[in-house]
Amino acid sequence: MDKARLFLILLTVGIILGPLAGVIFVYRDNLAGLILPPQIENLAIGNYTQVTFQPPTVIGSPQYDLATQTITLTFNFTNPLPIPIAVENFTGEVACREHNYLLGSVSFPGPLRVGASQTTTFQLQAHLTLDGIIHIITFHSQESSVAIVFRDLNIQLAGAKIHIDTVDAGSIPLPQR
Amino acid sequence: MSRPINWFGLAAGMLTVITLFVSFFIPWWQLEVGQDIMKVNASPVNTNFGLFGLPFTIPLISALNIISILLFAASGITMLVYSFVPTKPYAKHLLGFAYKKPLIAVISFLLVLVISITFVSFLGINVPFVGSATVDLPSNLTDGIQITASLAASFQISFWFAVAASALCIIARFQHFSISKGQ
Repeated sequence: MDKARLFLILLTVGIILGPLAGVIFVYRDNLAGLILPPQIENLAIGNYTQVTFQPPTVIGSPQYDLATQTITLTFNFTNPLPIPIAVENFTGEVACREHNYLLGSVSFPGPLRVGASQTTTFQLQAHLTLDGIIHIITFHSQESSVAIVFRDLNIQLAGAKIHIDTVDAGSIPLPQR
Repeated sequence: MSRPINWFGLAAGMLTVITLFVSFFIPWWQLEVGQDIMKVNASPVNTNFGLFGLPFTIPLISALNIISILLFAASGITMLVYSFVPTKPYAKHLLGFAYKKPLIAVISFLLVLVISITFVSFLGINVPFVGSATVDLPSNLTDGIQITASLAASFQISFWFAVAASALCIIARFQHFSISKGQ
């Protein structure tokens, strides 16, 4: 029955060519758009403006509490996504910027949930080590403040881990004698 | 006298239609990068992507999906029709049209998947075929910041439906020999 065979061949050809011809017709003025939707195009040309993922940034000056030997840092974090995400962990070290000497480690109180397209502020505390305190007394006791950096920063958010070698964290004011 | 029926063909036709229906909702293969950083839902019937929680599709792939939907539907319906008339003169044409398509879909899908994963690995991102892994995103994509993301890839139930439908279609083809000889 050649008619049945012919019909099935034509059906196959029609099924294959119809949608292809349709999509090419729709995108006839922008054939690249067939395989490059705007989201991919932005990534390909390095334009991340639609979704700019910035690591948390230090705001203001770090505060130094002499009694507890802790430095308190305030961070700003903006979630650029239309979905809530969680900052699951945040570890890092605080070091003297001038001597790159370890002063203490940062402790993160726990997971931080940030709503869709929202900016949140949170605080971290860095407890100074004994060596860190001795370093400050030895090298910076004549100064009114010590410039510090964040180093070996690891931020775990949205199932990804971000590592940053060094970030400027401002200066901590020192008590005057 | 009862009319001969190719039962394997009937099962294959039904499973092909079921596979088509299930594949609308469940992808054949899924890749998740982090938590909603990126998601790939791939199947010949419905392929879509998510980037930072924003869903998107690629127009050419959508057109290929429409082709697959129509071919799957035509294959399943033709196989169902054939299974009730396996002794008619035009039956072998119906069977020839219907039985290969699910198998071609499965093989083509696996080929495209392997080629895509190989292509992405040339960009420095090793995506697992199945299972979990972590990947360091190329530093030129991340402004020099080191970003490590978790990846999880898996075949879903709809893929195994398609494999089963393909196997039944092939068995139905062999069953056709027996029915033809019996005439």
